[in-house]
Amino acid sequence: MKKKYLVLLTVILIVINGCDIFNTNFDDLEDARMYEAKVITEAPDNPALLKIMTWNIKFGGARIDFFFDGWGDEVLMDEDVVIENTQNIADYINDFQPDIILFQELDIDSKRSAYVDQMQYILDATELNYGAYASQWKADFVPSDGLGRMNSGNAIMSRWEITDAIRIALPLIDQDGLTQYFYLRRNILKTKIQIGDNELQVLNIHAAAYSKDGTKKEQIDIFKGELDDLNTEGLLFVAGGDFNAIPPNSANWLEEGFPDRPDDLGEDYEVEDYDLTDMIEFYADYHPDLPPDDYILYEEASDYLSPYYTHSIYINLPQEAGYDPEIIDIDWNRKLDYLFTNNETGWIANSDSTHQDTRQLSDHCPVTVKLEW
Amino acid sequence: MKKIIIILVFCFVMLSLSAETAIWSKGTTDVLPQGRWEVGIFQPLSYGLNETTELSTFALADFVMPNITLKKFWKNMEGWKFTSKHSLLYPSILLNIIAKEGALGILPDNSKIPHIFIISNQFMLSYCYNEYLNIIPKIGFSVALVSGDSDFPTIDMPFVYNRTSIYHENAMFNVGLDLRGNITPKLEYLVDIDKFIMDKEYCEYSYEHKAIIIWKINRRFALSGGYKLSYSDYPSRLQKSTNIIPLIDLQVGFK
Repeated sequence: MKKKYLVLLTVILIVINGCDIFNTNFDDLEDARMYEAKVITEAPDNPALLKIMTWNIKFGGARIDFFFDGWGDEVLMDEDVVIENTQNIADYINDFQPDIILFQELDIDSKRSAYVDQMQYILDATELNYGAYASQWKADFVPSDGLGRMNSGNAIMSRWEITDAIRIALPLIDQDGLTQYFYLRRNILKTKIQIGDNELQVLNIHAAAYSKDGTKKEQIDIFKGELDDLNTEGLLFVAGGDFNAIPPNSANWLEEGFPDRPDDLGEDYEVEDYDLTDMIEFYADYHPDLPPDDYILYEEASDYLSPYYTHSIYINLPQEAGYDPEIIDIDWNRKLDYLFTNNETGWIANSDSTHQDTRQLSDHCPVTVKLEW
Repeated sequence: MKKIIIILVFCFVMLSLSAETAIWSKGTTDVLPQGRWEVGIFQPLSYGLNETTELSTFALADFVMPNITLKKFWKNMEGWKFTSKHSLLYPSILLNIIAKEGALGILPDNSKIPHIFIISNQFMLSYCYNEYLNIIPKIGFSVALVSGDSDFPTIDMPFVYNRTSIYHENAMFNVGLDLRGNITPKLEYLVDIDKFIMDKEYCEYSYEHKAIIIWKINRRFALSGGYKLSYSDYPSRLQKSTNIIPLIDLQVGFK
């Protein structure tokens, strides 16, 4: 009898997968969705330098306690909240004036973010003119936790025209068929940007956060392979994103050691133990935004208080609302976001910044660095 | 007031003077013969109460979504048959069940579901051009009576949004046209198109079209198959999607 039900379930899954009723699937290689600001702001033909930023903006969710954080119960935001949070992100961008931004977790058509198209919103609210978007979580309806329609992904925005943009599919986490059908589909967003007479390759990744089967490393390796191919061809690139991996010389790296994991955090949100080798080849072959010697200086001197950490999922500081004095103070506690280049002379020395003053805007902070052009 | 009631009763009596029954008559202006039961996997359990009245309910759904529909044949006027359908539905129990964390959590766990009563009224005319073609225009409206604290989102799912947006909008209108007829004595076709007018503020519309073949095997069994297509507005500005689903059903009849 059990066998019968298994066969029936398998047939249903095959039919569902084959039909793609909820439009969740992608081809291995697809054109990215292109955007343009309503008003184009003139960009210099030959800038002296390029300011590059990478930022996981948590779909404009700021510091709202969502159900997937492990302790919150929010699922859907109201439109005015999303607009306010997205405008705050745009304001920060306008203050720093980056030329190119790599975004992760940007929503264009999700119920959780009140269907605000954050791609168009940010383009229209900043001096960035062009955008390319590659969805990493798309479904007409996610029948779980009240999420509903979802379209969230990676994006690249630039002051100059993006002449080519493709979405490269990455391997999926090993899950049961039904969960996988509705789950995130990680990708690399690969673009070409024409700046004056020269072309810059810009690549963006958001690697798996909750894989326990080595998929994250596989995704990171594929990204590295893309960079190696460009490097072999002699093409200049800027690449980065949220790797969900820590630097190879991290002192704090054991999962149970991170002071932001509530006791009742569900299994689904447990990350695999960080591996110090995840990023080692990037550091060996290309120029990171932050030299490893600078990174380790603070981590060794002051446990979990480095100015270079880019992520925390939970805040418990005396100045924050809802502060609990019974719990250890928690702030940024790991670096997961990076920028790399194969430029011969690397980034402009000491031009990197980890913008921890954006604590209220997302659970990641932006990382910026400058490139001589 | 008395006059109005008398006129209404008179009209109802005049209209009820004729009867038109048929088996496997779901979606037509005919009602089931008195005493006959019909039920399908995806069709309601229907019962011919008398020669002009049919009662139906989605029996399995009754535990979580009590519902009942009365279908009344009124009049055959020179080839035009007139029938109306009146339904009462209470979806609040089901909405509370699907407001949950995890898989099948269609609504957020923190949703506040009020008491919702949906009253739907459909009016259908049918004109028999010949045995191969029946033309059935229809029009209807639904109202939602809502009581209690309400804080839950719309269900923006194809084929569902247009039927559930009324929980927030309180009223919905629909118009449609069915074409139906025999292919052979045992095979019947049905092609229809419906328009739902959902949101008065944003003028949201939803269109549905279906085409099915009904095989009336005998008085006991009927098998139907085809497709249903939806083209709909949603709260999302980027979404105006077309979705298609297969339709298949086995119906069983008694008496």
